Amino acid sequence: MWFLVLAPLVPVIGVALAYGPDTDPMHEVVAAAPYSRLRLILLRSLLVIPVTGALVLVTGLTVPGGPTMSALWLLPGLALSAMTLALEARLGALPVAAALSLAWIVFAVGARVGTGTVMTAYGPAVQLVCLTTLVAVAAFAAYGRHQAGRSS
Amino acid sequence: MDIHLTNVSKTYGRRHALDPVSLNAGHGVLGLLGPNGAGKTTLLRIMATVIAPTAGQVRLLGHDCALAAGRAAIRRRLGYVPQECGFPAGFTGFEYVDYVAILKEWADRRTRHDEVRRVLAVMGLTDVAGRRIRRLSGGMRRRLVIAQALLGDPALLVLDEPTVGLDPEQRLRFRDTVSGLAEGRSVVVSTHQTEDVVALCPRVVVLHEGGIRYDGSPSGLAAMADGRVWTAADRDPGAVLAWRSEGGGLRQIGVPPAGAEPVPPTLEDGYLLLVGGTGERQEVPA
Repeated sequence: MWFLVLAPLVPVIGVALAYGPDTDPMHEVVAAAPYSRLRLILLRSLLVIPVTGALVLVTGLTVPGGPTMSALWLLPGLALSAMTLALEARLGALPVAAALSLAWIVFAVGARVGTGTVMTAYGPAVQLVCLTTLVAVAAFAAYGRHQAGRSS
Repeated sequence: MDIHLTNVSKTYGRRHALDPVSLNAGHGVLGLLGPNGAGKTTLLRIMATVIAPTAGQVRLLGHDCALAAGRAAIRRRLGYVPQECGFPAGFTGFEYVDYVAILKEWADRRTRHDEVRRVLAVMGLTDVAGRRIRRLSGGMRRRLVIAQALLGDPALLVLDEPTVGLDPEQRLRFRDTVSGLAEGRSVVVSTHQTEDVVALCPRVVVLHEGGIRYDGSPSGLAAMADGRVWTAADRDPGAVLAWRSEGGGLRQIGVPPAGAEPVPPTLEDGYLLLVGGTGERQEVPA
């Protein structure tokens, strides 16, 4: 059970640690540079997510449940990471990651307690919501970047 | 005016880091003096577009900091030395400055490397550019941070205690560098070193408890202590501060006793009296 509760949070933690005043020693200099903050975070996340993702996939293969279960966390993990990226600029990466992680744990544990299996937290409806969230955040980011490009 | 702040304030939760402050400055070096916690770093971080003010308007180099496009335009012409700066593990000095150059949108590798070499040479770091940063002394690391701020010949330089960690010779070299840079651009320097202010800044602003307490010339700040500095063998009751001076007597500032012989005040005397005094804002034309 705990693997499926915690697996989607690994990429989120990776993203949270990739940028921010608490973890980036050069944050002050980076924040005063003209390079797009979103672009920088996405570039760092592009490095972080595959590494953390591979880590969880390999770990997933070693736990009971077969290869399907080892990949179930992928969409929730990506959706939570995307939301962390989207809200980072306003609220800070670590607080957002902490709040989303807590919300996910409450949801997954609640599903386990309510239905007797944590797999409920990975049902088709949840996967669809995660996919929609991922697409919506990506579209919002692309739109924001387009608007910033037009106004500069 | 390159720097135009109108009623700019900053609060963190319930704590007021900066009271409403208004400040205009053009080309030249502006010195910021103040004790720890006075609001200097908060003000400089606002000027460096690192943080947004809680209230007030900030216009730098003709652009509005409240707009994303304005901030981007400012950052393209800004050099910033933060008070504290870490370094990525394993980077050499050259790689560090090169990384900042990439963040400053120097896309072409050849011209970027030429520029990196130029600023490293300005700060006297050419010989150690290939060395890992962890092997550099504290003074060299500080010069490295100053070097990155010089990339692209910025129109506005914001320097937060740049001389911390520099030895006396390096400080003199830094003054020489900044004096040369002040031609045709705006430089804001925060420091605890009153000697640096005297040497570099035709205008000084004293911040205390989040507000501007003095804005004028260094000589005007020193003149505020006229008649309030004296020497005596023992500490007098009216002295706010007293310390052993070269002649062996105690140099004292405050309310001199009857018959005390005043001595010419320095900038430090005026500053100490001001931050230890009533805290009312004083303005003396530069």
